[in-house]
Amino acid sequence: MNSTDAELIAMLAEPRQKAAAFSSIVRLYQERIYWHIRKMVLSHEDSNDVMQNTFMKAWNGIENFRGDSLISTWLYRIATNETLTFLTSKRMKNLQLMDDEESLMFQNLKADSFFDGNDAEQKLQEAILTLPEKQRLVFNMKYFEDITYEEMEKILGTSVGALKASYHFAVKKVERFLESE
Amino acid sequence: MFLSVKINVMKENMNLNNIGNRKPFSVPTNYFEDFASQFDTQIAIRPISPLKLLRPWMYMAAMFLGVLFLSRMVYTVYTDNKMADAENYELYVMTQVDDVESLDYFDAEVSEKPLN
Repeated sequence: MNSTDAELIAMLAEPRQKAAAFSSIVRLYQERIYWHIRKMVLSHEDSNDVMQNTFMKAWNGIENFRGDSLISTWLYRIATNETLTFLTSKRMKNLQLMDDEESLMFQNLKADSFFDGNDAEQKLQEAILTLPEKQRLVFNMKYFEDITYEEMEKILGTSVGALKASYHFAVKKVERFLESE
Repeated sequence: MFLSVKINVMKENMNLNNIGNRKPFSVPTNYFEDFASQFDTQIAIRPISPLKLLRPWMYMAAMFLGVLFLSRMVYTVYTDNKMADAENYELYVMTQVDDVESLDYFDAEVSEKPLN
């Protein structure tokens, strides 16, 4: 545990300092958590909703955080669960539509004013959307954030070996998609 | 001709090394500052409810009351059975003796009681 985490955890234990400590946590980790969510749900509005839920869940469950892991790991874990829940519920809502959820997400991404990618980056996002959700998570965390496999193991609860294999296959699939187009 | 050259150049550029790992997304101006401030307001408006803090104690009290109620019920059933056994025993004894012995028994009972 780093010194910032230790200080924040000590503050969280004091009822009078709890809100101030959590406010610092939000300011410290919001960008990382936001980008983690955004790369999965793609739309800014949806990412904002999922991030709200993530921090609200963390705040309501702050008593359950015993400091066994880093605060960032704990937040990543909540954000990942919230993101997957959000994507599942969105998929269920759009069941009756002709297009699959990934196609809809890509159509919305192209029209999104907060997407500023060039043609190649747009194609990469399309390729990433062909991956299964869990593999997409692994690919995004490694490719864009360069999170270590050990840290990913703690967040996703998957072994380092399985994560390495998953990333390897994800890269191959993405490259094949890019080459085929 | 020009189009096919352009397509070939595009294909060559379409690999992960050329694309890089820049995040092609943006956020509204001051988004993160605003998010943090709004969240501060939310947690200030919604403090942890006293009910939530009291919940573990309420569970414990409910459990204690449950145990008390159960033991009271078991005790009542046990006492009732004991009394019923005593009454049954007296009736059983009475069926085993004839009328003369019964009268002697009641006489003895009466004579033992103090006279007012």
